Amino acid sequence: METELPHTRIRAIMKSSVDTGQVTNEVLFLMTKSTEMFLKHFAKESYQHAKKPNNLTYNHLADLVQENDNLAFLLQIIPQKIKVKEFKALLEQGDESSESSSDSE
Amino acid sequence: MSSTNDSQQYEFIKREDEFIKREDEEMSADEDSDNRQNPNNYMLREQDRFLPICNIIKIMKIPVPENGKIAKDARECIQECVSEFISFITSEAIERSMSENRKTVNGDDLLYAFATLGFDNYVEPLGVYLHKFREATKCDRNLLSENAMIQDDSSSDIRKT
Repeated sequence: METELPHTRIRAIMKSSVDTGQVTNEVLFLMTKSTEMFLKHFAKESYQHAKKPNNLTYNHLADLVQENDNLAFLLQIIPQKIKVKEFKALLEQGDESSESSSDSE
Repeated sequence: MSSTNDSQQYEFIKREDEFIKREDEEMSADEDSDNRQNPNNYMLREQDRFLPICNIIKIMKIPVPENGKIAKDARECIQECVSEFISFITSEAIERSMSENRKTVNGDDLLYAFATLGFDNYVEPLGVYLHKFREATKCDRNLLSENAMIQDDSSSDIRKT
């Protein structure tokens, strides 16, 4: 029944969602355990991405999140790194599309 | 005559000051306890939003080779991911409990959330943990009510079937 992570902090994070009622000890324990499992999986799989340098970086995590559908909820937190040039191109595209949409209105 | 009058007046003023001061103290004490008791004033501080990084690193190092390193940009990112993971699962579990008209989330809601969100491989080991936890807490409760043997036997039989 031992856990590595602090229960109080996990309870606080759970409570930060809307409409969270009471968090029972049962749920808290399960959440702590699953968080540990999540971390282990996450570490294991992203290290397989890293392979050679054996140093886990942001890019490895981003690749992992990109490839796994069940990690899609992390896409906003770890977006793929892009170059400034590409970003500017994206911005211009966005501007054009918004202009065209406003024209059509 | 006048001098005694003055001193009396002075003493009166002093006492009034003291009274006001004491009232102030009580007021501030009241405010403090209000803040502590009122859950609506509960605000999550920035440092409370994330789990401590040393614990996270410790767990992440378990499945990886010993010489594995984790870059600084990855660490901060992982901290955020873990918090997001917890909120993500929690909100799904809450939705399920609300759809069944229950106010409190239970362990089965959590397992259901994992299954629907694509974490199928978590469900089985977590089910085992849930079972263990319920057994352990049941034992505690039975010890308190001092008829551990009878209840424990009957309830574990029910669970097995």
